[in-house]
Amino acid sequence: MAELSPLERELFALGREIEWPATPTFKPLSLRRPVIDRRLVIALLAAALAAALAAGAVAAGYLHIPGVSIQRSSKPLPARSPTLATSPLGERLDLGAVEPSVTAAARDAGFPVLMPAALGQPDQVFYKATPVPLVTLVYAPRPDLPAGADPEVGALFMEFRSADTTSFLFKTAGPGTRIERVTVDGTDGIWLEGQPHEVFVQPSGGGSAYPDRVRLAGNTLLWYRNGVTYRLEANVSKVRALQIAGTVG
Amino acid sequence: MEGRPLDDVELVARARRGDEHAYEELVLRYSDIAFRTAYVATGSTADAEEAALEGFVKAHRALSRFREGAPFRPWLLRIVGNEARNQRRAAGRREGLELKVARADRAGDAAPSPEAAVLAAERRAELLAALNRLDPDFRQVVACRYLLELNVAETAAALDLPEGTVKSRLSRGLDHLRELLEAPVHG
Repeated sequence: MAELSPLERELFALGREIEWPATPTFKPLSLRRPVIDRRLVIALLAAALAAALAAGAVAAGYLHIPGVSIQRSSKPLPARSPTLATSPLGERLDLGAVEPSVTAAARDAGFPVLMPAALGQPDQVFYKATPVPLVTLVYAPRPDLPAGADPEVGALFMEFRSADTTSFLFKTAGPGTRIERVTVDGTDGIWLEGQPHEVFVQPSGGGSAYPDRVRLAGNTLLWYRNGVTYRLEANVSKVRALQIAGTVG
Repeated sequence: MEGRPLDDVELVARARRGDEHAYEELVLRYSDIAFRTAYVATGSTADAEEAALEGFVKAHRALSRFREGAPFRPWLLRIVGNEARNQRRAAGRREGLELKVARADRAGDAAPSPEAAVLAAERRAELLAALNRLDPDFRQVVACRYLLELNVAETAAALDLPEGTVKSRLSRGLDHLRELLEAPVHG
């Protein structure tokens, strides 16, 4: 073997100090996944998720927190058309009815509605009863919350009951979406960043999951606590999202 | 299971007979190198993750065609490398690899003098900057060969290049690196 030059020795040494991105865990279930027939994936996910929950186990092969499952797509998702603010926000984003206050929304939803103190008072509050009781706090764009896909939204903070329901959100993330497990204020969470991911809703009482096109989502932090799943969607960094989540109370 | 870890040949033979634990062991063994090879090829964490996962899936499906007794690692890296190039093409991106070093000193190393530490850090930064400025064709072979410590055959497999091309790109890549290290940095 030829002797190494000083530059080659330096390169080998450099290689041991490179900061490589963390290697994901590749699970056996993922190895057997179908290439992607979305309907089949949804059906399999629903069945697997129900079984996993029944067994009290966390499903493997895709990421899951109560109420939400995320499946990787090997192909890029279709590009989303820009949102036009031609219809009322609640209708445009399918958020349900406007509530006069957070207190009123909590009364309708039947669970305590928490607010991220870092964001202050929401600009609008919505409540939707199906497929699960869902409260959404909307924050208008401002310097620390730039508008994302919708020109009227700086941040969406959604809360929905997920402990005793068979309804779930499914997200399909394309290759351009970074998915990361994170810890949110001491509890497990998931961070999605990069290319938008697609959200599917599994109706309560069974039936086919349908694509929730209005929430083809941007950067999103998801976590679960005390029977409620929290979802913060905003055009902010992971660090900022975790800071905001840390002030929810 | 036996106290001694099974070698690749035995694990592949078991996986071919349908032993999923054996394949799981191979996945575990090669996750880092598969993911990092894909990262060098794509410059994107998400693309690399997808490429490595698809690579493991396709290798699993293709085990029946794997030549018994052949080395598993270059065969896997060829599949992962192909997937990485597909990912990059699908995303319409050029390779945008930007390498960084983890930290200035390593635990367990003898503490260098402050002057030596500064010098080493400066040299490392210069080398990294030169590497990041290298033409992507050269940077990929240099990164695979030296940073990932793949041998020439594995580098050729991962990048889908003839071994002769790998050797010539390595030689020219090192020459370019020396030129970049000697040239003053502008901007």
